[in-house]
Amino acid sequence: MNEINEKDDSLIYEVGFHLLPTVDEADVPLQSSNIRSIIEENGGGVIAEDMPKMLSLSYDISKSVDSKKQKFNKAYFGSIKFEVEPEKVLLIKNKIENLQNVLRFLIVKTVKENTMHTPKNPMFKKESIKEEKTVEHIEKPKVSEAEIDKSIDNLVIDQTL
Amino acid sequence: MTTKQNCYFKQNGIKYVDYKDVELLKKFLNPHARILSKKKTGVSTEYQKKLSMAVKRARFMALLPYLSR
Repeated sequence: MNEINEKDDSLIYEVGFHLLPTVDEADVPLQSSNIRSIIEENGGGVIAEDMPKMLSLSYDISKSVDSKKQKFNKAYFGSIKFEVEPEKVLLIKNKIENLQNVLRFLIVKTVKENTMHTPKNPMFKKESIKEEKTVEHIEKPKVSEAEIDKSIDNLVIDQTL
Repeated sequence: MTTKQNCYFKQNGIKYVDYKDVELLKKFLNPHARILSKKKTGVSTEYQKKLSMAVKRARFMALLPYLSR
């Protein structure tokens, strides 16, 4: 049973890619669909797709654009999870390499399930117990404006006397 | 004899360490962006290998730095 599952898993891949930041924001879905169409042309079935989002890179990546070497510190990062025969992966890789608007990409083996796990609790730190501070509300006696005016007047009178 | 399970991934039922999960990976890096040892984090050998692979992939994709500070 496990062997069958492992064989199924081995057919699932994911391509993560950076698109050039010079690409117009409206054209980003088009560029992503180019990669998707390459996968589908090679008999791949798309399982999940993350639309490219602009993010700042941890270090500058250089790429020669129009025979000029340029450095980029931002890119649109997206990913596509797909199912394909292992022999076709190399073909897909070669075709994506030829795309001009792709700054960098990576094809990895993955699993069908969602793999993103954002940590819920801070690790390696003792959980600080937050004591809920209860603020005591002291109810103040309500005094009408007329009464305040009267008391002020009395004070003024006393002072003048 | 009973040994306490300290592996973060086993405790949370994480089977695949994704390189895109940067916030998770950052928890296992020191301020210089180097991978913390499993001795410090308590991660099992199996998952330390998966973790280091994920960090290296994230570095290649510039989602994490090779070095900082």
